[in-house]
Order: sequence, then C-alpha cells, then structure tokens
Amino acid sequence: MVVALIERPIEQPERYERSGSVLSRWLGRLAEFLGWPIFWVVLVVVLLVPTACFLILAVSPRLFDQGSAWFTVNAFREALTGVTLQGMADSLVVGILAALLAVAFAILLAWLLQRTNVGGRRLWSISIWAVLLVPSYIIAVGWQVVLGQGGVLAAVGLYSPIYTKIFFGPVGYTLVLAIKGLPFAYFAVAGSIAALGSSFEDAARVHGGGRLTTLRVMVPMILPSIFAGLIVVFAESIADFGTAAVIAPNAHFPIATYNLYVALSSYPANFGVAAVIGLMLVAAVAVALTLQKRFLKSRSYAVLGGRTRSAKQTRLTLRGQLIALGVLVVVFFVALGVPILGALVSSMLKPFATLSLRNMTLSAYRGLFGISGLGSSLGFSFKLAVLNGFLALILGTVIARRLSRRGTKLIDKLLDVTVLAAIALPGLVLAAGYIFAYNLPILSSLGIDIYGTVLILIMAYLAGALPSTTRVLAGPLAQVKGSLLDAGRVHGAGLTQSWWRCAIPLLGPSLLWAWLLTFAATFLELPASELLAPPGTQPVAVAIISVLGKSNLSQGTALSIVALLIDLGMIIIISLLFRFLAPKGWRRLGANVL
Amino acid sequence: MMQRNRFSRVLKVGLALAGAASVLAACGSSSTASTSSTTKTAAKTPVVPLVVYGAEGYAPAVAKGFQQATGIPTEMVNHSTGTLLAKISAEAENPQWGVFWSDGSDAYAALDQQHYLLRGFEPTTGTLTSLGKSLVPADGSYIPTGITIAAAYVYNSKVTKNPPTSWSSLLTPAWKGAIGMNNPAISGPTYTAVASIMQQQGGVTQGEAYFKKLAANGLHIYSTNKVTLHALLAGAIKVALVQNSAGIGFAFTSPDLKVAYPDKSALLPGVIGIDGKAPKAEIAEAKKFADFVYSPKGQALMLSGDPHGDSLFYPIIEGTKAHSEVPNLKNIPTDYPNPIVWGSREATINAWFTNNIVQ
Repeated sequence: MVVALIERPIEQPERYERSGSVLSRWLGRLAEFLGWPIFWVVLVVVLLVPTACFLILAVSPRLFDQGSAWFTVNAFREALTGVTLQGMADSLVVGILAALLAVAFAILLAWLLQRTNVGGRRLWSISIWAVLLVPSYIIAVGWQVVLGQGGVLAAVGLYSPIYTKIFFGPVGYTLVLAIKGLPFAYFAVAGSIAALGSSFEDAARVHGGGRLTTLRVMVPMILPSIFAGLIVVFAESIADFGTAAVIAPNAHFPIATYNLYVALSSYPANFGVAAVIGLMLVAAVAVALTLQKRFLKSRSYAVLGGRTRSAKQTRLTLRGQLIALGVLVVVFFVALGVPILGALVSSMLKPFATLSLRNMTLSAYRGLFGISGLGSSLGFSFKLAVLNGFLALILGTVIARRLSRRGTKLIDKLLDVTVLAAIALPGLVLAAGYIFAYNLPILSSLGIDIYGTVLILIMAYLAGALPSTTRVLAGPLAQVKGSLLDAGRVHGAGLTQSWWRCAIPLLGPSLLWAWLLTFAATFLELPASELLAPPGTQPVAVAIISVLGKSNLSQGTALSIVALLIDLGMIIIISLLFRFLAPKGWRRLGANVL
Repeated sequence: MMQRNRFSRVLKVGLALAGAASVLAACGSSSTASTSSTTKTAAKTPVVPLVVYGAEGYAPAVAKGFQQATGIPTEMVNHSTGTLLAKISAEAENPQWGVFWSDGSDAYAALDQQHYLLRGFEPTTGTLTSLGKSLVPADGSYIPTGITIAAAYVYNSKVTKNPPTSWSSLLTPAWKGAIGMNNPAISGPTYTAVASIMQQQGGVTQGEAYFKKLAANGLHIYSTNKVTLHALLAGAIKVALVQNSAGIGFAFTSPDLKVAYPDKSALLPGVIGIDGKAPKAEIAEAKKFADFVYSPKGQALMLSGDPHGDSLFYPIIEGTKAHSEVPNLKNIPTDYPNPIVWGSREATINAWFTNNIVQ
C-alpha cells in the first residue's frame, strides 16, 4: 500500500527480517528513490500547474496571451466592486449556512443509521448515494417544478407566488446547497460514528452522565470528522455552479460562481475577473482550513485502535421507531423526493398540459433508443470513471494520511494549500486552467502535445476528484492510532503489512465510499468534459447537454434520469459485492453504512 | 541488512505507483499513437485532420458528409457558442481549431480585430443571394452560411390570444412579469438581439434605459433558448424572446406554440470562420469545407441535419429553399446591427446587462 511510504520507518529487530533476492532489493531501492518524486510530479502536473496558471492569469494576462500587460491589478479592481463583490459575500454566507445545516442533519442521519435499529437502513443508505448523484441543477429544477405556476402544488390547488419568491432567493439557495452537501457531510461523519465503539458512551453513562453529557463526551471525539464535513460542504457550496445557474438569474441575488460563469462565457471572455473570483474562493477555504487546523492541533483525536469494539445498536422503542422513520421520510422527501418528482414530471408531462395521469407519456424515454452515439458516450465515461476511481483513491489516501499527521513540515503545508486550492475552484476554472497550462506553444515545440488527448481529460478528472476524495478520507485516516500500526509491527508485520492487515480493514468502507464517490462524480462530470474532451469523443454529460439543447426537453430530462439510474445501479452492485466478497474484518466496522 | 524487508515493501509501493503512471502513460501513448499514425499518412498525402468547432445543430451531419465526399478526416467538436468561444480564447496563440461555425457575426468581427481569422476567402461553389451578399464583411474574414432571427416572440396560443407586436408594448402593464429572455452574456445569439434593440432605441444609453424599464416591469432572465422555452412550457412566463428557429423547432413537439415577430427584429447570420494561424494544409482543407457548405450537397445536409432546430434557417444560396414551417422573410421587418460597431461593445454591454438587469 502506498500509504506505507509516509510512515516513519521503525527500527526493526533483526529476527523479524525476511530474505529477499538481490533483484528485489535493487528494485526496492529504486522505488524508494523514485516513490516520493513520482508522487509530487503527478500532483504538480495534475493539480498545481493548471490551477496556478489560471490564478497567475489574474495578474499577468500577457503571459497567456490574454492581454497586453505583464503585470496588472485591473482584474482585482474590476472584481472587487459592485455585483462581483456582493456575489462573493453572498456565496460565503450561504456556504456557511449550508455547511452547518448539512452537517447537523448528517450527524442525525449517521446516528440513526449507524447506531440504532431503525427500519429500512439499507434503503436509506442507498438514498444518500442517490442524493449525492443527483446534480444540483436537477435538485433546483425539481423544486422549481413543484413550487412553480402549473407545478405540482398548483395541481392540488396550493400554488402561491410566495413560495416561488422564497425559493428564488437566499432561502432556496441555501436549501439546495445543504441538500447537495448532505452526502459529503454524511460520508465524513458516518464512518467515525460507526467505528467509535460504545466504550466511551458506556463510560460516560457509568459515571452518571445523562444523554446530554454523553453527547458532550461523544461530539468532541468526532470533531475531526465534523470539521472535515463542514469544510467539504462549505467548499463544495461556494464552488457549486448548478444551483447558481438555475436560481441566481431570477433571484436578483448575486452569487460568485454565476459571476464567474458570465465572465467566462462572454466574448471576449474576461479570464482576469474569473481568476480573481477563483482566487477569492480559494482564499475563503484557506481561512476555514486554518481555523480547523488551529482548533484540531490542540489535542489528539486518535481514538481508533486495536481495542476498539464495534458499537452496540440502540434498540428503539415503537415510538422511537416511528419518530425516527418520520424524520428520515421528511429529510429524504425534501432532498430526493421533490427533485425526482420534478424531474419525472418534466420528462413525462405533455407540454402546457395540467398535471394529471392522463397527460403523462413515456415517449421521451422511448425516443432515447433512437439517439445515435449514446452507447459509446456511456462506455467512454464508464471506463474513465472506473480508472479515475482508482487513481484518486491511491493519491487521495496518501495525501489524506499526510495531511492528518500533526507537526507538519513546509512541504506538507504546500500539499495542503495545493489540495485546498482545487476544492474551492469551480470545475470550469480548473478546466480552463488546463487549457492555459497544456496548450502553451512552448510545450508543442518541446513535442509535448497532450492537449486534445484522452490523457489530459483523465488528468483533469483526477484533479477534480482529488480534493473531495482527500477530504472525505482525511477524517477516518486521522482516527487511526499510530500505536495500532506499531502493534502490528511488533508482531512481525512489515510496514505495508501492518497497514494492510491492521489499518485497512478499519478503513475499508471509507476507501470504498471514496472510490464510489469519485466514480459517480466522474461519470457525469461536465465542465472538464466540455472543455477538454478530445475531438470526436462525447462524455455522457456532454451528450445530455446536447440532447437538452435540441427541441426535445423532455428527452433531455429522460436521459439525465437514465444516466443517474446507471450511476446508482453501479453503486448498488459494488456495495453488494463488498458485502459478500470483502474479508470479514473489513466489513465488521462501519459496514452498515453501505 | 535491516532494511531489506522494507525495500521489498517499498518495491511494491513503487510498482503500484509505476502501475498508475503507466496507466496514465498508456492512455497518453494511445492518443499519441493515433496522432503519429495520422502524421504518417500526412507524409504520404498532404492530409491532416480538419478540426471543426461547431455550435450549429447541423454541423456534425455536414462534417460527416464532407469527410465522405473528400476523404479528409474531419473531427467535430460540437458545443454551445459560448463554450467554443471560451475554448478559442483560452487557446489564444496555439489554436487547435481549423473551422469555427456558429450563429452571430459580432463575435467573428471581434475575432477578426484580434487577427485570428483568415481574410479574403469566399466559396465559389454557390451564388449568394443579394441578402447573403450584404452579410459578407469587407475584408472577407468570415463566411455567412444562413440566417435566423435573433429574437422572436414565442407564446402559447391557447393562453395568449394577442401576442405583443412591438418592443415598446412589452413595457405595458399587460405584460408585467410575463416576459422571459436569455442572458446575452451566456447565450451568444441574444447579444445580437440586445444590440438591435439598443440600436432601435437610438443608442446604448437609450437602450440601457429601455432594459431598465423592462426589468422594472418584471422581466425574467434565463440562461439559454431551451431554458427560457422550458419556462414558457411550464407556464412561468407568457412570452419567450428567443431565436426563431428554436421556437419553430419546439412547436413540432408542442403545437400550441406560435412565433410572432416584433416591429423590427435582428437578422442573425450563421457564420464560418477559418483559423488564419492553422497549418497551410489545414487552411486548404478548411477552404474546401466552406466550399462544400455552399455546394448543393452541403446545403441539403444543413437543411436535414437538425430538422427541429438549426435546420429551420433562411438559406442565402441561390436555389436553396427554406423549410415550409419557416415564414417568408419578406414579411418580417428586420434589422442588422453593424457587427464591427456592436461586436467591439459586446463585453461591456454584457457586463452591464448582468450587473443591472440580471442581478
């Protein structure tokens, strides 16, 4: 396992050594010599260079042939006024609110699903994945269809313009972002809550603590995960574009990503202003991360060790069951039910018809069979998503472990900044950065012509996935006690082996989620696919957009639904395989999440 | 000696990394392989792949037909005008496209001012109508291929019996909160409509005042044609100001949709530009491509490639007829804002629109 590289070597007694051939020893030396450099080269090439290129553009447009000035602060002057500045402020406020809301509900869900015997746990777990997969614009459109004139509420005589007014504003905006953030927050905290074991809880109880005291004991233990959740949701929210595209134009509520999109879409594109907005988004997450670091540095949160026992489930009373189920039904109706209802209605309702079963038709779905080239789009995106899942998992684990160590060196700080830079950068900026970085004439003259190839698309997918994969893994990895690995090594296991046999089983489910998360996000990724896919190829998201652009709107929606079902089907199959095929130890802790 | 065990572990790690790197490299080499194979063919005959950046719905069909007719390998990059322009801007000095084909001459005029486009080429395979000739720029930097109308009034004839007839009527209480249009900063064709309205109002200042009044009357802004039309279908607005071909196209699936035209609406030419910085062989192919578009075969493919969308245009080549669903252009009062004047104002007007009307 690659993680082994980042552990400090422990001097081993001679008697535990095993023999190895001269060849493997030499190869080993070579690998040690090349290991970290390869890791850094991959990181720099995939993430640092494209991001930096776009951000440098803000001050030096001439470098990239986007203006006459070698150095200018005009873009800052332009971006730090009026609507652009207001948009930044709005984004920060809704980002913070959405993060708090998402994490609060994530903790509630995680406790219900991990630590109680609430009914239908598997169904609810799959629903969380479904929320993750539904793109934010579909959530926004779904709510719009339900609340709008001629929508679902109007069909039952409950339409009021007040709903639409509330929805097209800060409230609706925060709601959609919180829904979109819920799965990220859940994945960040659920693993810790599941793996925590009940010994701490029991201890609090034994010492006479009531429910509130127990909560006070428990919450600080999962603080790293809570912070991880808050940061991921905050960063994803301020960088989200789908919600902005649907809500911002009609809300008269400026939002940073919408301003950025407008700056990039106009002709001639204002890359300078887009870069400054990107920089400010990055800075916002940097501040949040610094606060998190300062807070977490004060003590250790390593609680997962060899003695951790899996938690006992709380058996709910009948009344408890009913209340818990009620909460779950409401949460998932808001997060998933309404958007799905909205999407189904817009894919099936005949135009201008009132909402009733008679006016529903499946013709849009039948029409999908006639779209040529769709099969190859699905196959293309599927292959790249599987590949990217593994690449992001390997690199993400290494980075997450490195970030979770205390007492960081300068290079670790650099790593941190690199990864956080990308998490707050909207996909469009990253994709445009790739063009600036890899289409420089100097590269062509050196014979490096990777722009316009599949390779550059894979690199961009990896760069897009790494930040969130890393953040999701950071919480669980921070909880692995160093003593656990030491124990493994005292018993004669090597570094790799002690990781493989002691730590990985604890992390198994988290690693699997991270892979699935990357797979799902890559399968339907849009901005990089649009700007970087080589001529003649069409990733799924681009195919959906092109069908939506034709006169048949319902067909576009139908295709989105089918693509989502494929995505979700894959997740169900993989998690079932994990359930039946993974070693028992891997499934023991936290496996309920799947 | 003590480190032997560690080496074997590090070896595994190294191999894992090398494996990942080789996967990356393999993907790279597969594409490099394809490039080198095309380079090999290039050595035998002067044929390079022609890259077409096309936003027109019929562009893929025409590109395919062109490849079949000439044997020139044609690679299509089919996205919205905005995405393609962003790509072209970002590619700047190292352009990857040979042909760019989209609606609206304003952006081409601006591209020409930055010396991106090949000048002085006109296809000879077809004769332009007099209207077509009037769209050819003086320096021959782009090639008009057809016409649509930048903003028409699209409405639900069952709900709206008397659609608006002029730009000024949109300001009346009858249309309060009932009108929807695209953001010109995102939808390329909409900029031409905004330019035309401003010109008709008497200039940029008067135009800005008009749009402020329209916003005060509850104007809705969406991103692109399809989103605005979706809002119309869902009943959120009563009239959509969109490109007429999109409205006529949507009427195929929603027959209650009707299209009306304001007192004066903007002509929106479909335009081909050739990359002046492309290699000589690709420029030669791009010229052949433009020739093919003007030929009867190319015209037929334009008319059939996107039957419920962009194919509903007004042809400007003698002998080519528009579809019967498209109303006679002679009955529509039109306007053509000078692309050289209005093209250079695009960025500032779009920024103003976003800051004052959208938000």
